[in-house]
Amino acid sequence: MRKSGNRMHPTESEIQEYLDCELEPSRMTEIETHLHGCPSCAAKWRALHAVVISIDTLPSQPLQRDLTPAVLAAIRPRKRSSFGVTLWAAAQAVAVVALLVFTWSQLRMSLDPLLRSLLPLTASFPNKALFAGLLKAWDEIIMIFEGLLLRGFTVTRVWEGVSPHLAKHGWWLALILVFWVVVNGLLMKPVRLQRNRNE
Amino acid sequence: MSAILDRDLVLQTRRGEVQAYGQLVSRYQTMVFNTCYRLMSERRDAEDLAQEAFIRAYQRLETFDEDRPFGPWIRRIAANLCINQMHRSDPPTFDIDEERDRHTQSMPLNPEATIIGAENKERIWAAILDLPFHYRVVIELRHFLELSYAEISKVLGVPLSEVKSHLFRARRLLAERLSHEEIRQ
Repeated sequence: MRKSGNRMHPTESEIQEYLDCELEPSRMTEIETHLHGCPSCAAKWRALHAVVISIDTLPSQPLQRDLTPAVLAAIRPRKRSSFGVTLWAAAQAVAVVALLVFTWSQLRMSLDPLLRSLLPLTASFPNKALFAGLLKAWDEIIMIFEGLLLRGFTVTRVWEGVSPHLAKHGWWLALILVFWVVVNGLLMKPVRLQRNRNE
Repeated sequence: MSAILDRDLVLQTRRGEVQAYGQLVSRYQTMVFNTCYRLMSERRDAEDLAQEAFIRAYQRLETFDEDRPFGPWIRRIAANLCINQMHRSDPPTFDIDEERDRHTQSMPLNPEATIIGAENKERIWAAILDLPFHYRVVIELRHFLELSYAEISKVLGVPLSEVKSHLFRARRLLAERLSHEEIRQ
């Protein structure tokens, strides 16, 4: 705002912002009122408005070649992304089950004594029945898992027979599995986020 | 109103129907070309970048919200491509003294000449293409992509004050050139 005589004139920048509706509503009203009573500022507004209208009514230039064939030649048919995600999830599930089967004996040998050794410690717990319940659930899991997998498949025993070294290092496999799942989860997160948001 | 909605064409493309994307290209290629032409000033460059914009858009189609209009999205991709291209090939340089001198000048008060001149759209095209890139880009983003000052500032990574001053100077330059053309005629 600059002063001229007794009147405060908006700057040309402000007149432009008024024209582009980029000012606060109260300032928009002030400038509108000013323009009605100030021929000098109104002339500036008209000059700017004329340029804006000229640009806004600019017609399109014709395109001299059809871009469609070139674009279609450059792109490959899009696979359904959900198929890729499903395949990825299925591969993860297969990997989890496979590694669990191969490392089951180590997992059980290590976890089972650990859990049972904790049982005496729970005697002083106010809710010791809960831990006993959890341990019972663990036994159920062992029964179901071994019943379904180990009795159904002899693959674990075959595998252990073929590769005792690998079975010996089952914990390493389990660690690699956890790392793999976590890294894959981290990799998939941005993809999911990107899909959900609008660019 | 298009016989097939853009939304349906986008969904068909996502299902692997490439011809549906061909329809989107046919529908928006002139608009996208014009965005590129106004920014690049060269027909050939504009055609190449418009083509590239459609390829990029296809690659990013998963990120597009199909409930929003396709036109502004593809134009935005095209504008970003042009801006990146110009910055790579010709980093923006500003003649500070020239800018300071020009800043003291006012908008030519000859709206009639500009309006009469608007009848000859080719002259306005020529005047826009003749602007320096940093002025063309604010004109494009404001007038054709209809971005706010704040959005332009974000896209270009420049302060808001720079957006305002560039827009004002770009419009003033256009007014000057159109007024001079009118006087010469």
